[in-house]
Amino acid sequence: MEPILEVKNLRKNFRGFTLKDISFSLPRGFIMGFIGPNGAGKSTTIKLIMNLLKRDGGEIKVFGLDNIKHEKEIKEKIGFVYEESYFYGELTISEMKRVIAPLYKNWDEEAFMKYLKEFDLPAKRKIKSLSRGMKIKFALAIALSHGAELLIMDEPTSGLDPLIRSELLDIFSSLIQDENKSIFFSTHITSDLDKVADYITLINKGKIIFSTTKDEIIENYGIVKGSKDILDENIKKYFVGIKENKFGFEGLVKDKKQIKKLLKDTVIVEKPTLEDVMLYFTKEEYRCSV
Amino acid sequence: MFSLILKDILISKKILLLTAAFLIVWVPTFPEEARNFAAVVIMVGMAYMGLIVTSSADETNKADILLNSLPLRRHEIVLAKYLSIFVYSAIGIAIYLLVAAATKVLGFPIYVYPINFKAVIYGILAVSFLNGIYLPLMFKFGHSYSGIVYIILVFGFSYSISYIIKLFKKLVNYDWFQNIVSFIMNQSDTVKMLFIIALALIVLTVSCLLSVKFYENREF
Amino acid sequence: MNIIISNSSEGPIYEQIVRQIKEAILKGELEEGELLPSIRNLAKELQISVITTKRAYDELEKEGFITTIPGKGTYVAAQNKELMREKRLKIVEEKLVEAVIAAKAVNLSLEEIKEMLEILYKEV
Repeated sequence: MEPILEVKNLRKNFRGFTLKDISFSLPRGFIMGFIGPNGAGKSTTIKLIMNLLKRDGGEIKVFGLDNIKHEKEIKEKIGFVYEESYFYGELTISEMKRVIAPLYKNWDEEAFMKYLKEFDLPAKRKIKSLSRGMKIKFALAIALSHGAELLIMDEPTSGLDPLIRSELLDIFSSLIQDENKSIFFSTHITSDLDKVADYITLINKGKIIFSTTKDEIIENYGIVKGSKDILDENIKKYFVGIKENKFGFEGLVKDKKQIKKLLKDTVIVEKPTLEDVMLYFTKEEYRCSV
Repeated sequence: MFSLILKDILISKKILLLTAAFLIVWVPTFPEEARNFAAVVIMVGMAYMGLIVTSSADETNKADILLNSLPLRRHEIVLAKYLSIFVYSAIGIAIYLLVAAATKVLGFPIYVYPINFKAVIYGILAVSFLNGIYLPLMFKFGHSYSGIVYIILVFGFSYSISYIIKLFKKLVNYDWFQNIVSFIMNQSDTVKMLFIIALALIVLTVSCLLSVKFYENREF
Repeated sequence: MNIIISNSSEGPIYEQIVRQIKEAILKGELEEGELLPSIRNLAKELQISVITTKRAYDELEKEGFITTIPGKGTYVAAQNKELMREKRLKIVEEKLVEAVIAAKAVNLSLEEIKEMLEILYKEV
């Protein structure tokens, strides 16, 4: 089956920044986390997928269709949640719904009402008076009430307390029970992805660093800790990044089995968190050859 | 697409009512000669206020991002805006007519005179011209400059009327111009009205095509 | 059925799942023909990736512990009694290997290991 979202060699030029060679693909039924430091190009990539920005090169296919040629058709089946609420603050929840619902062919009023209830959203309240968490939940209610197959989200959980974040992650996992649907979301709160993501794509300074399964990262990459005298130029070659302190070093390797064989008991090797992975790949002071 | 017009009405409903109320109180104070243009003032005024308020809301809420994430083609968004200005004008006229009829029936001392149908046609022309110039600019450059540009346009329009009259007086000396004018003036009222509507439609069509082209190239 | 995932243990998560389901089957906690949760349901409950649970189920299916009927679900496979016993013996063997490695690491002799084994066998 073809991937639900496929990006190939995407390119976008700005005056101080270039996004290039962006390629990744997301199959149906899975969640992809899109991580990277601020300014790496996450929002830009999402805007390019939604055709809010015009691409300078490459290909974007959603549901197998070109995202520009079949823009309207595709957007019928995309649910979107952005970091800021772009709904009209002056309108109430039900007014906003009255505006949006007729624009979707497959609007499901029942589903929307169910979400309003589940999320405890008062229909008559003005959108500007909602808290950030409620605004995101409202955006999600809309996104999930028109038969969307792909949920695209740009930093949906940033600024939310752990309780709400956990609720949202639960909703995402429930959505994926339908193996026809997928979720693509960008975040810099990698701990959310530790739990829920199937695929991870890391972007930094406008380029894709890697795009692979989360398992591949967690099982093969490793955090290596030891004393600094172990580090010679030869050993450093195996590391993605190294952090030294007064008492030793800590670093990320791509193949922990290899390092274990090499250094055996002289080092401690642990599973990395996605935050470790992101830091070691993107923080300049830590970077090594790889 | 009508959804978008509904959205604009929902956002501007308070201002539209306020503007209508203001106009209904103000317009009957016009001197005898200007009475025929009551409709024009109402239509232009309502369209203006409606646009200003919705532009401001669009700007604050970065509506372009929302609208372009929904399954809408860019030209549908543009078309909805063009239709909405006439909806604002129509609302203004409708409320005025209602109040005029009500005051007649209830026997109010203040005479709220009825709207002249001809004036409505001129109103359509005025609204078409004004917004025909303004909207492409709005779609090209965004909402932040709306208020100022629009005011400049409205004032420019009223000031330029005296220049247009001067121009006409000069042109009257030319035969070809006289021929055209007498030809038009000799037509029945209905034809004159149709001519004006045709002119308005041409202006709107050109303006709309421009707006669509500008908006399709916008990036958010 | 109980499945407990440890993030700090060295082995990959899918292996932990495979091991625990295997044990449950061999101990009889999971019976022949019993319906197992879907890979997606399991992933949601354990808060791990679907890819992980799929891998675990694929592995279990390869080793003959479970079967998947498309459209219906995943069930505990009929276990050949001989095969069951063999698999159980294999687990004992694996655990003994672990014990031996651990013992050698602290330099216990074979005699000392045997002594410990006797005492424990009587106690447990």
